[in-house]
Amino acid sequence: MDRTTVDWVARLARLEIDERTSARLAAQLSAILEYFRSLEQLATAGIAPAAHPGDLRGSTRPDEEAAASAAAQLLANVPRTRDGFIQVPRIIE
Amino acid sequence: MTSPAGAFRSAVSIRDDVVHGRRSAREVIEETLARIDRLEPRVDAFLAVDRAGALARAAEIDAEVTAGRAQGRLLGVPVAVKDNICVRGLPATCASRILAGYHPPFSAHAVERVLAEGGVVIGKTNCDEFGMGSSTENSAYKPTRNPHDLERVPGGSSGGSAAAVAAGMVPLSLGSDTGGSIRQPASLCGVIGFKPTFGAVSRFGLVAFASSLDQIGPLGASLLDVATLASVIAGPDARDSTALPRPAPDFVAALSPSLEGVRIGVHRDYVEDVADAAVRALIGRALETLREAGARIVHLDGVDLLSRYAVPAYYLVANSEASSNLARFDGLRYGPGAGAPDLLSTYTATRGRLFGEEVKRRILLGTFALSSGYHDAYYLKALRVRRLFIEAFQEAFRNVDFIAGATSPIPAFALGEKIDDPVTMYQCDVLTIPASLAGLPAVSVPCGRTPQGLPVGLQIIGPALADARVLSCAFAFEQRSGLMGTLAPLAEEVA
Repeated sequence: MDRTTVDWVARLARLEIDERTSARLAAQLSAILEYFRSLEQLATAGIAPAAHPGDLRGSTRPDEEAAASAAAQLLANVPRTRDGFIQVPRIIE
Repeated sequence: MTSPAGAFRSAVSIRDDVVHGRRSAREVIEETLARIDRLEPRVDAFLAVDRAGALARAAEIDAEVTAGRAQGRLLGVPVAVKDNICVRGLPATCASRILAGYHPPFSAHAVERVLAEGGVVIGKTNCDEFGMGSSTENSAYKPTRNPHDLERVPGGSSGGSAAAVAAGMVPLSLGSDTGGSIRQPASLCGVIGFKPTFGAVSRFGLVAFASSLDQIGPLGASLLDVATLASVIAGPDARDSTALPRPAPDFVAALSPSLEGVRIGVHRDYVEDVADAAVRALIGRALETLREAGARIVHLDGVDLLSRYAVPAYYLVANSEASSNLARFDGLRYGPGAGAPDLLSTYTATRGRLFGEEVKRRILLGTFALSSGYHDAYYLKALRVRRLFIEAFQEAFRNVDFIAGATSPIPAFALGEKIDDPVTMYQCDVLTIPASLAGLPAVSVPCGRTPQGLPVGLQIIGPALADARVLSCAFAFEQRSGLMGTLAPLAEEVA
C-alpha cells in the first residue's frame, strides 16, 4: 500500500494523518497486507460468507414504551451544547 | 480439593463470610482497597478505583445483612471491570484519549447482573485502546505490568483485568474477548479466563470493537469463582439482538471433577507446533493430567484446523467491523473533541489527534478492506474463510467433546519487545482466534510455569453452547493440577 493509497483511505476514514505517520503506516500496512495474501491459497469458490459465527435470524421484541436514558445525562458528555442541543460547526453558509 | 494458602481469598468464600455475618462487606472492601494501594503502584492494573462508591455500596450490603435480607451469589465480592464495559457513574475511556472524561449514563447488562447479585464494582481496569492489542501496551494512559515479572507484559487486551486477579487485588474481574483478549492475558498472568459462546452474554454496554466477535467474560483464580460469575452474567437481554434467547444453564451445578468417558481432541497446531519449547512441555504434561482424570485423548491430525490462516482472516473481519463501529467517535457527542472551524475538519482532527497509532492502523486496514474495488478480495474472502473455520471445528467435534492445547504460543514477553512490529504482535493470537471466528466457548486455565517462572495456560475449546461442559472440563483439570488459587509471588508479599 503506497502513500497515495494510505492518504485516500485516511480521507475515507476521516483521519487526519501527517506525512511522517503516513509514510510509516504505508510500510506497516504493506507488510500486513502481504502477510494476509496467504488467504489466496485457500479455495473458497462457492463458500457462503459467514458474517456471524452462528446463523442468526433477526430477533425482534414487542414495540413497547419504556424509559430511556435521560437527555440531560447524555448531553453531559457532549463537548459543546447550546440550549439542550449538540452544537456543531455551521454547515450552511 | 486443594486448599490454597497465602493471599488468595475466593469470591465464593468472601460471599459466604458476608452472608453469614462472619465478615462485613466493609471489612472486605477496605482490605481490597488496602491491597490495591500496596500493589497498584507496581502493577498499574487500574485506570480508576471507585473508593467512595465501593465503600458506600459495602455499607448498603452490611445494612441488608443486619436486616436479615441479604442475598446474592456475589454478596460483598469485589469485582474489577475492564474499561470498555460501562458502569454507570464511573468513567469509561476504553483506554483511549478520545473518550477521556466520558461517563456513561447506564451500566452494561453484565454489570447490572453483577450488582443485582450483590457484587461491588471496585474500579475500571486498563486495556489496549478499544481492546486492540495483545499486550495492554496500546493503552493511551499507561502499560500494565505482569505481576509474575514486572518487566513483562500481562498480555491483552484485558491485561488489567488479568493482572488485578493475578496480584490478588480482586478475586474476579470482567474482560472482553474479540480474538483472545480474555484467554491470552489469563494465560500470561496465570489466572483463569473464560470466553463464552458468542451471544451467551449480552454485549449491551460493551463499547463495540467487532460486533460479530466481541464477548464479555469472567477472569478469576478458581474455576468455581469463574463459573459463578459466568452464571451471573449469562442469559438473554432484549437490548442485544445477538444475545441468545434462552436462559443459561447453572454452570456451577454442572461442575464435576470427573472426566470419565470424555474425549479430548489434540491437534498439532495447538501442541507440537507451538513456538515455545517450555510451553510445549507444559501442555504435554497437562494433556497427561487430563488423561489421568479419565479423559481419552484423540489425535485430530486428519483434520485441518486451518490455524495458519487464523490471523489474516481475523484481522480482516475484525478491523472491517471496527472501522464501521469506531466511526461514531466524531468529536461531537463524546470526549474532548477538537473544535475545528468546520464539520469535516472537526472529524478528521479529533480522530487524527485522539486515536492511538494501533487504532488508526486498524481503522485504515478495515476501511481499505471494505472499500470499492477491494471489498470482495479482502472482506468477503475473509468471511468465506471464516465459514471454513466453522466447518473445520464442526468436523472435529463429530469425534471429540473438546479440543485442548496451548492458549498462547509463547509466555509473557518483555515490555516494548513487539510493540513496533504489528505482524509479530498479531501472531500472539493465533491459537485464540479460531474459537473466536467460530463463536465457540473456550477457557484458559493455568497449567504451570516455565523454568523462568512465567505462567502458561491450557486452552479448552468446546462446541457452540457447550459452555457448562467446557467449564466443567477445566474444573476437573484444576482439581488434578493443584494450581487452584495460585497467585503471583508478588501477591504473597502483601498476604
